[in-house]
Amino acid sequence: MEPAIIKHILLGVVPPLLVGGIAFGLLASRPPAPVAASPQSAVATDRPRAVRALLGLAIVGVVYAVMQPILAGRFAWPPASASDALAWIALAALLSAALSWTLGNIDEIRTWLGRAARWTLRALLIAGLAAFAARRVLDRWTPLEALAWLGSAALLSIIAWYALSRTMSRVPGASGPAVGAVFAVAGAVACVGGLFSLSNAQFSGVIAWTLIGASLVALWRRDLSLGHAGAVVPVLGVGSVVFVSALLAPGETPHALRFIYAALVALVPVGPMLLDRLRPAQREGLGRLIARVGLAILPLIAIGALAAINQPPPSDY
Amino acid sequence: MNRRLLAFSASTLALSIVAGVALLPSGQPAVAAEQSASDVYKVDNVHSSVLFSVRHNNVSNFYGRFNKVDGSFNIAEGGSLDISVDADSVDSNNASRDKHLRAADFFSAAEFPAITFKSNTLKKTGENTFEASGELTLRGTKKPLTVTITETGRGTGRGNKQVAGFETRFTIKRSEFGVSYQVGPGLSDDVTLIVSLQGAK
Repeated sequence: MEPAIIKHILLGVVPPLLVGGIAFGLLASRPPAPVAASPQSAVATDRPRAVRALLGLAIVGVVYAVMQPILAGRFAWPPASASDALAWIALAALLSAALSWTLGNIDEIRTWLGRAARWTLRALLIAGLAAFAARRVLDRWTPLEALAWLGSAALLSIIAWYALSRTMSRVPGASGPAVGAVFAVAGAVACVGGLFSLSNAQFSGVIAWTLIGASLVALWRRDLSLGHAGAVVPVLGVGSVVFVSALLAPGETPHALRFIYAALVALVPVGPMLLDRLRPAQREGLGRLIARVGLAILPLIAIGALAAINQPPPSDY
Repeated sequence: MNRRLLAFSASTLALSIVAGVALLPSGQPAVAAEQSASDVYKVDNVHSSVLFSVRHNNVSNFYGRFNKVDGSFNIAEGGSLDISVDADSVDSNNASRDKHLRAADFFSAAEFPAITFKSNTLKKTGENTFEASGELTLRGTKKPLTVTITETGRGTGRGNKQVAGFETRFTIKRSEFGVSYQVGPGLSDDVTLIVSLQGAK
């Protein structure tokens, strides 16, 4: 591999890993939230943990929003291309994470805005961001084609969002951020191996390495949890790079084959979510950690195999 | 003078006046415009070349090409260039690399199928040389560009068609057009384009 590529990859690995590890380390070193003695609402006792979750997802969001344009070497408005739009989606992911946390943690809003309404808003957000990034291609498609593409992007992203938010919030511990990291690695492998974009793979890699930093910290601070909203930045960040890469990847079969990559990436958190549903656990032991991460890795292996069958990676020439 | 002769004389006079006006200095633009329209050559893709050169690993110049070019040109004072290169036709002699070049990291050909240059002015600067100023659009970014053009010849081609050719060589910074993938010693920011076109009319 060329030295310039190695240098570029290291830029996408070292800062997110260090910042993620140190920031989550500082966050985890705070004393655990005191449990209220009075029989107040469960939400009140969980509030310090929820605030820590907000800080956690802010770390992931800020690292991604800052690193993305640094790696791209460009921050253009209006975005001239779908790739330029990714920097703005990174920013939107950060804001959406804060909004999602607010919708999920402020009792009044959570009650007022029903669950179905919240998921509908999320689907509309994804479709809106996808349309924003892909507008120059969608302009040349028929309305039906455009709708099918946007609908598929929204559906797959919502599946991933639901499964990842469940996985990250159900049991505190290292496996939550680790599954998020596997999800981001899967996005990176799909971009490099099948969708011909090393740049977009790096953007996904930033999220992966930040979450790996969080996972390492969570190995010794088992109460670390990113909460429900922790899935927002990984889903919007990884989703946008995978869909943009799939949209722009050259190939003889325009869209069907490329969507396999997106579908496999979306499947990453589904296995761990089903495990938690079928065999619930209150605490995360080593067995649960291995089982959750192992199930998440299965679609990643499939992506790697598919990519290996299809093409050599861009670093091979 | 009968009526028919009078009419003939009047029409001859009218034609002479029109012809005379056309030959007067003030009539030159009309002639030039007429010549411009008839001097426009349509690009012959089969006999045209669009090459690009990029420095690789800071040790060698790598050459690639685009296999499809279209458009028209008129190499003359006040002439014009309107050239379009099919981004999807990039050919680097490696099928896998070509796919990478067409994808998001480089040309994003699905999004921006054409790389275009459209001149605003074309000035004669020497016996066979011209300076064309216009706009280059690459990957959705439009930038002003001035290039020196050398007229390489004119003649008669197949089917008695008039043919003409020109060549230009210029360097751009690809990062200015959003092609920022791996800019550095591994793959230079400067990309030299060599455009040698033949056209027929």
